[in-house]
Amino acid sequence: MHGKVKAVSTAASLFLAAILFSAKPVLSSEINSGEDDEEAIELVLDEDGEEAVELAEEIEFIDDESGLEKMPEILEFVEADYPEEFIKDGVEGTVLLELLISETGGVDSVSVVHSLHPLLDTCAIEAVKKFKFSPAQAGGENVAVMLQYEYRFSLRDVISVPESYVNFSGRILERGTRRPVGDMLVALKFLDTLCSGADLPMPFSFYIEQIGKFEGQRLEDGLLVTETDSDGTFKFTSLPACKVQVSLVSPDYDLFISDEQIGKLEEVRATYYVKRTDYSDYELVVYGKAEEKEVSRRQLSVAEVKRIPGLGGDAVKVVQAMPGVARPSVMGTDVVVRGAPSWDSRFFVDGVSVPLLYHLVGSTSIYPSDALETIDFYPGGFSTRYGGAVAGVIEMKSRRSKTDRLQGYVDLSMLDGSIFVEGPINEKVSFMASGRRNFTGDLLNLYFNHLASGDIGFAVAPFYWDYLLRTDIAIDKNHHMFVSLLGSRDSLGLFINGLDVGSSEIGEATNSLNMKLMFHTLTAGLDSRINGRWNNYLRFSGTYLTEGGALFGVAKYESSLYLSHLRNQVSFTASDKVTVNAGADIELMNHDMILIIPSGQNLIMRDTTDNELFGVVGGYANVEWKPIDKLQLIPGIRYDYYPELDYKGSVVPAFWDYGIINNRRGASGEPSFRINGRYEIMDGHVAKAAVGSYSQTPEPIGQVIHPTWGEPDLPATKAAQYVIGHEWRISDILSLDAQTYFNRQWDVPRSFDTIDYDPNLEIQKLYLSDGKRRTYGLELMLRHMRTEKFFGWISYTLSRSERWDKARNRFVLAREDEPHHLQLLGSWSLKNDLDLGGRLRFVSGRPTTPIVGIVEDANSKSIRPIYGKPNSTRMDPFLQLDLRLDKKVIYEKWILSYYCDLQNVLWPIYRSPEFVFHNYNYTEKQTISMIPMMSFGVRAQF
Amino acid sequence: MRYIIAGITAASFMIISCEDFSASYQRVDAGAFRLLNIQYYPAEAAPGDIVTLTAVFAGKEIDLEKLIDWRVSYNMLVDHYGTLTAVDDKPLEYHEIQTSFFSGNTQAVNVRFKIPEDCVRRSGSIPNNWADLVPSYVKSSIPQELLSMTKDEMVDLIEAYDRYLKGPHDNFTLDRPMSMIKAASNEWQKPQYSEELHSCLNTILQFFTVPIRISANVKGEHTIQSTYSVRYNGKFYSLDINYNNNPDIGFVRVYKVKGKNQLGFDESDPFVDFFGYWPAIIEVEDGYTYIAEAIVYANSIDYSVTLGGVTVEEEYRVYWQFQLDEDEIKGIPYSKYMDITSVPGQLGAGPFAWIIPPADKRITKFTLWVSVTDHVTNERLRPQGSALAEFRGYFTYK
Repeated sequence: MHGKVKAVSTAASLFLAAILFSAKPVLSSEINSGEDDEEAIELVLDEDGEEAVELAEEIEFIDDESGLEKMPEILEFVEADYPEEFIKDGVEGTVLLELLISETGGVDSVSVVHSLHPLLDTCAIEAVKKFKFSPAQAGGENVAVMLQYEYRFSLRDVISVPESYVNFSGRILERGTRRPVGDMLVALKFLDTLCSGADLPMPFSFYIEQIGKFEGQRLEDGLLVTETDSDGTFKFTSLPACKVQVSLVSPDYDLFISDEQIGKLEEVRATYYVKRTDYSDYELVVYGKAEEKEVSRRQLSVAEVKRIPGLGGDAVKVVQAMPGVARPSVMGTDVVVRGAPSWDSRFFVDGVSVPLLYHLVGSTSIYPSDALETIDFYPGGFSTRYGGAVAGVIEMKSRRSKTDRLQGYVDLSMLDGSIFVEGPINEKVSFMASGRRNFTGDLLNLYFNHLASGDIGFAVAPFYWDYLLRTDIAIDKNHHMFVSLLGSRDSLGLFINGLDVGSSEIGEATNSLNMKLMFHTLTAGLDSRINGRWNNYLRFSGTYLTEGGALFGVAKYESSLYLSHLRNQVSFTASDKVTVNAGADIELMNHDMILIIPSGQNLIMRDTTDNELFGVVGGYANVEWKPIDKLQLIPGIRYDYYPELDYKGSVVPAFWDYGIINNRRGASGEPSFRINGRYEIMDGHVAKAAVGSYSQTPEPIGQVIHPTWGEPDLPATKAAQYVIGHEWRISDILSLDAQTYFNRQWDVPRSFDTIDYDPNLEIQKLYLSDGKRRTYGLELMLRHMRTEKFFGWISYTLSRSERWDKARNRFVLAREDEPHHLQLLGSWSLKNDLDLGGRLRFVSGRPTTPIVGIVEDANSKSIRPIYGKPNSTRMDPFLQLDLRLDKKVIYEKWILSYYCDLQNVLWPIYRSPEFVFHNYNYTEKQTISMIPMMSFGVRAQF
Repeated sequence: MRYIIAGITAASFMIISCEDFSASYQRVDAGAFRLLNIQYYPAEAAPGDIVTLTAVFAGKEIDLEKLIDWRVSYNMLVDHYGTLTAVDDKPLEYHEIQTSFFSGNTQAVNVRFKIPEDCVRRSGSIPNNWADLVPSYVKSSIPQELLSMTKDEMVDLIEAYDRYLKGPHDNFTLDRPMSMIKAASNEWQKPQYSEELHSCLNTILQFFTVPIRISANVKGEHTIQSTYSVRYNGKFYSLDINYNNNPDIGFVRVYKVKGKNQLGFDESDPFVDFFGYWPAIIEVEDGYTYIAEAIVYANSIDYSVTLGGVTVEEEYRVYWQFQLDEDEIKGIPYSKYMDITSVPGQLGAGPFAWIIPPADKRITKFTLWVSVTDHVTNERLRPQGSALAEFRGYFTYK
């Protein structure tokens, strides 16, 4: 509060002033601090709010007339009482008083000129009476003067900053996923503006204004607001006890409003679950130019692939939807890449081999798709990083376990049930665990043993189970490590009462079929960044696998293997133009096997292999070189040694069978040279090319080099690949990739045919190594990257696959030949958390060999066909539309999603041929097509 | 291997739409030239033996003597995968060929020919180092002395042993293991070491078994192939060596089992027997399953010692075929014909079959043929014996 002396405007006052005053009025306590009197003069407003005459003029006037030499100055200011109730009620203002100041500077009398409130007037009077002034002087003597004084009662002067304490806090989590929502605006609207129950020491608006200045909250348009931190936490300090409306606002979430009652003393804690506007799995959408090094690589995110109809959400099978991959057989898991058989390509997880990619029955991949980050598919032209394959490479990259919170799901489908959990253990360590069990066998067991005749029964189900355990350790910012354990078991049993097939010399159970396969793989990885220039990528896996089976009394086998794979790559970035990579890629398999099976001579063969060593021992180096900004070249060399082979390998990389020089003088291995290049023609356009030599162990592995069933001296199969392509980044989300390729293979094993009879050989060879293949084609892919609403692609492959036919001395179509393969694929995110996916495929019919006659076998009472020109006819084309619908129901703490997958929707209109069955003498045939198949599943995600 | 099992299982459960064909293996139609069986007599022959091949046909009649071009390959190769390669293929030189009579519904032809004396010696299916054919688990049962001999030496040994057993005793020209036989040759007693030779003779002779192929190119029709095995076993019949005879089909018994699609029968179920040419009657009644069983006479069952040293009884594979009366089936769609199928769960040519009666009661008469082949697992290239029997029957309908 402060007082202000005001010069009255009445004549009497003037007279008195003229008599008594000569000094300038004291205007405020600030003036007492020594400011220039002129500057300190304020314009005074009278009761009507009009500007009064400046006192200085009057004073000068007075001075001029009265001779008042000095005005009284406050020596001692006494603050008036400001009753609490007036403060609470927000009453403030000015009391205008008239004071008689004596010659001694005391206040002899006080009267109210303009009242504020009687009580406040009284308080002011009481205080002013105690003021001490320096006396006025006129003529060199102290004189009494009368002056007016304004005493101002101001709330701002008496209101203290409220005590700061948190009395409303909470956390905001995403509905369904329970993911904390950071940077969300939390706004409070005070519904009870009087806040009568709040018992505030000051007016409500003042109070809010005060607390609006507290750290972490602010006042905006009458609302008290704050934001959540990265953990989704918010807090409000010192809120008045009243009802508030809480609004949670964010562009990615639906508006959330809730009312809360803030109490006097207790802290209110709340947890809110806000609904996202879009629950797509792929949260982070990054566009832009990622540096691509490979020529043919196609990368898919797991979130994309799980939406593709007809693939059951299986991330591994999705490569079947890529250009360059032929349509697999029904329920098949084969991956025919650029016209080459399935065994010409290799699968890796994090750079190391997996012993088995799919379960044997059910065609489900063993590695859980949700544990994968990306799938890199190289249909050809891959770098020296990979060896032991002459067609393509598929590398699945596992992802790190999530560290933000414990989360997971339980999934149930027609085939199996699974559970998946991951989360943090502490700041540096997180884990991931999954398990799956198939129960189709249980259902079949139930059917055959209880519903159908008990003469046919099933042994113990399930068909399969698998598991994955993983731990991630963030050692420090430059080192990350993980350890994972992957395992699986497939088993099958079928028995038929009264059946007796085969020989007890092969197996006692001549009435049953059984099979089991189990493996466990331990994988460890360490990624290191060393002083900014060096990087090291280390992976090691060890696998133990056992399998066995018996086909009634007809065949029996048991085997076990130890597989270890070490991959280490060191990268050195010499400059921004040169990076050197060098690595070891060593895969060794120690195999024991017992196989008991009758041969074509009706002779039971008991083959035992002990400690047979297979593998690929490879070393490589390549250089990533940018001679100019727009050009990238990656030349590389690699050598692969095959310990199971015994032949003279090449000395120089073989791009064809060099006739002039004798290249076959080395160890049982093959050197390779590969180079790929990318040139940015202009912004968004990249031309690319790759040339390389490749090799692999002759396939099928083990069989063709077996001492009894094969030829141990077969050489490695070799190949040369040539790729030219163009990439056009049409926009951030649209791209077009075109590639042409030409692949040659030679030293391909082929089984003995009558034309191979060599009279000079006492024992004819079972396999020969003079097989040859060639494939060539064009691949196009127009791809729409994943956005909030859509992703998809159109892929088209025009290709030809041929093999050398010795009898005809020319290349003929291979059975993998597929001239046209068109796929249109897309997934749309609709309203109400619905996703609709579709996949339309058109594929040329499979090559078939016409039957030109029959031969009846009197011994087996069967008729076998006489074939004409190999693969000279073709089945009708394949046309299929698959649809998939995914629906999410978002609950507070979990999400329920379910899907329905319908394959072959066009069946009523067009029936794509899958098989051809003939009658006994091949005079009639039937084309069999797959009927529409529906599958569905449910998932609860927490 | 694992993929074979998985594939069989997967195929068993595939949901695929499929319809029946109009022509079937089991049903012999009048217009189709069908082979019912080829039987060799004897079921197995040694080099130099005379063999009579009897081929029985049904359906369309042809001039068997003029229209069949018989060919033979005495040099057949067969590898572990069963790939057969005919190194030579030439017209069959036969002693005699004549039509024969099997039944009124069939045509039959006998072909009589001689197995060349050097059939085994010249066959490319036995390498000079014959021990390469012998699996390791079998080698231990054969004296090393024999394993180190060449193919020709072994053939000489076998043929000499044959002559020895038949007498009189020649002067042997072979030194080595012939001492096994020679030791007692002068004493007119059984050779001291014959026990040793005898104990492995059964095994050895399996590696001196060669396949030959007889093919019949039927003009205007198709080619028929038959594989026959030649081995020396018949020459050592007195030594209790494996020897195969053709099976003898006794009769067919048809059980009438209550319930549809029954997989088995009880001995108490009513049945009817088909013997010889006497027609039997099957009473057709709704709600019943008709299970046929082919009975092979026990005294025709042969026993063999396998390469694993196990004595086993030969197994039979039974094939069923039938023919309906042409007049009765006129105008009736084939889907209403009678049918014969293997009983589910039997996995192939087992002794039991479902007889599915006609859906049209106008069809009553049928002729039934049962052919049986014998088999022993792990007896290398065992000659196959076979038999064919014809039965007649009627359906009556309740």
